[in-house]
Amino acid sequence: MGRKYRNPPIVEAVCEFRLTPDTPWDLTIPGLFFEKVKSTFTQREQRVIQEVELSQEPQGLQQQIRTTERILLFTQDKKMLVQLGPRLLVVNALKPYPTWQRFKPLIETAWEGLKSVLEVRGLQRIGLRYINRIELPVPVEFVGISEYFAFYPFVGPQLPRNMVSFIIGGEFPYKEGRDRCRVQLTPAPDSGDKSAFMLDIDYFLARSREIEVGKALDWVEEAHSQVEAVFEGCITDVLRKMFEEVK
Amino acid sequence: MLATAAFQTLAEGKQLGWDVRSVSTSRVSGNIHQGGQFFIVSSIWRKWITLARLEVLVTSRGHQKIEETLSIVAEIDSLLEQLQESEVNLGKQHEIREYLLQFPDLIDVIPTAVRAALNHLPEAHLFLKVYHDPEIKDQYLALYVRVQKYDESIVERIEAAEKEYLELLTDKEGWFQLTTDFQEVESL
Repeated sequence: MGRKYRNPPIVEAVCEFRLTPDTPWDLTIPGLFFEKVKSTFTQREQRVIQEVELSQEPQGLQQQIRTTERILLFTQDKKMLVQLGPRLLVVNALKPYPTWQRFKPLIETAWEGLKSVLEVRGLQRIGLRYINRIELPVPVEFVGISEYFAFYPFVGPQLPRNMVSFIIGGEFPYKEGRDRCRVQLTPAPDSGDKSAFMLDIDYFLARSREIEVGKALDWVEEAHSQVEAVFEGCITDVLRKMFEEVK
Repeated sequence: MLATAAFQTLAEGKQLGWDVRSVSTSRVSGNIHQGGQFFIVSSIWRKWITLARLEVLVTSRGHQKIEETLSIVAEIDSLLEQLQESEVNLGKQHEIREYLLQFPDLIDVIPTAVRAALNHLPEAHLFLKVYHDPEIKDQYLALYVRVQKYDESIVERIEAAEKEYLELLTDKEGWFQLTTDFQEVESL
């Protein structure tokens, strides 16, 4: 069990299931799925999505554009939603983050609902992503960032001290390369007179089909533990104090 | 050489799986680029490269399917970036972001409303902000239309633009208002 905070910086948590191309899909599935989950995700919307596929062929760049439909199902308070498109299921939780104990059951509801209306033949990708916006009470020069973060850009002594922006990212392998965790830290756009940073942690299955369909939710639980550990690894005690740990 | 180096770095980033995303049709058609294809790189790269550079990045890959945006935060980021590229002036961005996070079902309404406003008021300068009602505890997204010279037709044209997106607001929790404050364009 990870640490709990009274003021967690999470602005969005996203859990994504991409099914393998051999999983059958037809236009009736969104409607059937809605019937299964409508007691939780009560409000339905539809969007048209363009998928663009580019390939470099000997005769030049080939571009294919496909139009697909995606349904968005919101909870009553619109703080959580499910996105369902062809062979794609996404569960989003927006701020205020409802805690893992409340978010995970919704992931389960959506996943089990989908499995009950189609035969999932494989998982191409599963991802659990947490996007954090961390606001500091005072403007902080980037060179002073190490007071708050344990994941930050190194600036050599011969470089200027005043950096106007930066990007930093890393991808860490887990489970012998089966999973990966991508971590990105950037200044938040439009921070105003405060200092704010976006810490984006995306843990995902890097090898298609390496998780059995029946074990997807176990993977999600494990991914959550890893994300928690990575988050804690990215911050210092100064931030922990700011987030107000609940003992 | 600098550009080449940038492409190499980005291509390497892509090989590592950094996000390259497309946006929904509704958003594409809703912005001022009139249906052109947009490829949205998640915000970490977005501010450093132009669309032209990104095209080179994409073509430098072999076979590549561009994934759609799945995060609402990323969707809001790319929406605001596109609005800025379309010369819509933005008020306090953190307030707009907060509002859209609170009412994510409004995300798709905004491009349609901007397009409608520009269709009916092509000379207008647009300004998007969160409006705070001073009398009651209420706030909503307001898109202000400002023109060099106001005449009687402005309200009529705003109403005509409204008709193009009003039904999209049905059942939405948040609210969006197209209006004018009759201020000078220069005050933007």
